[in-house]
Amino acid sequence: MSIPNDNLECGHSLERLSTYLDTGGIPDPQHLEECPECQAALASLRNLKALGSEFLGEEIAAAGKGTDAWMQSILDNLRLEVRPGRTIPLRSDHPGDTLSETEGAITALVRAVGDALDGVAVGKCRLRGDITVPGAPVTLEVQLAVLYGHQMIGRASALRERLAVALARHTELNVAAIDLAVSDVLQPLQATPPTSEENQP
Amino acid sequence: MNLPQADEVYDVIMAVDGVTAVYPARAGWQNLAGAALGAVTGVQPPAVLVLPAAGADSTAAEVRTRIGVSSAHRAPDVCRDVASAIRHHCHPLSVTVDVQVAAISGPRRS
Repeated sequence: MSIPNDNLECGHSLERLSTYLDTGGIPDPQHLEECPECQAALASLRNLKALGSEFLGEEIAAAGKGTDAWMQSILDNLRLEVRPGRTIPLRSDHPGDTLSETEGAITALVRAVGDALDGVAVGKCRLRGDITVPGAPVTLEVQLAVLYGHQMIGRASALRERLAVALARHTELNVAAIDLAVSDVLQPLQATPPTSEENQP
Repeated sequence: MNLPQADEVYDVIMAVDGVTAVYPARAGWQNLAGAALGAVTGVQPPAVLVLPAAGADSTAAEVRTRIGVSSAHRAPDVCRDVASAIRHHCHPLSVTVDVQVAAISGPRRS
């Protein structure tokens, strides 16, 4: 898997985090416990690697072939989505308090909800609208891939329902719409045909 | 009146139901500088900032923190519970609280 080398705001890159997943080595392991952006990126990279192993094969994913363009688009989006982004205000019980959520926390939640749903892989998610203003209408846009063999409409409906529940539970956003677009169908690895030697009696 | 200790406030925040983590509350460039300094000195930046309120006497303070929340709890409620717990801990000091949810743990794959 070819990883973009652009750094997150904390200075780490997806490439370094991907290497950490492969080798367990990173110069400042303590940082990973203190950085929500790195934690969100690691969670997504773990899911992507699992998906790559299941549907692309380790060698194909590592070599950047097959449906790797789809992987690349996810990684490009991931770099943007794990950043803190805009500040989403929350109602406070006490005047003077400032309570909020980061946009990155919500997009990471959206991705996690999608990744937890069998047969679906989230490609890109964006919150459209002025999320910094309480009550302003907001649209969630999600691009997803559906794994071959799963019914598209059914998976999309299930995802929309779960996303609506998650956003209502964990945000105070005025979600006007959840727009889903199925951009890819991922096919599983073909069973390796037996070699001629294996066919010999 | 003394300001509350940051490590005490940290424990108060972590004791709130639904809080899974407390992250350093500084701005990005300060985090980067702090991380670099920590790598050299082994000293990590505090997870909770307790500051005297600007322009106020010693009876007011400002507390800033960023938290991670379990998806089993409603994030906005946890955020308000944290602010309330901090205020309760700091009483009778007058405090303003800045709490930001920086991460919400996701559901497990079905």
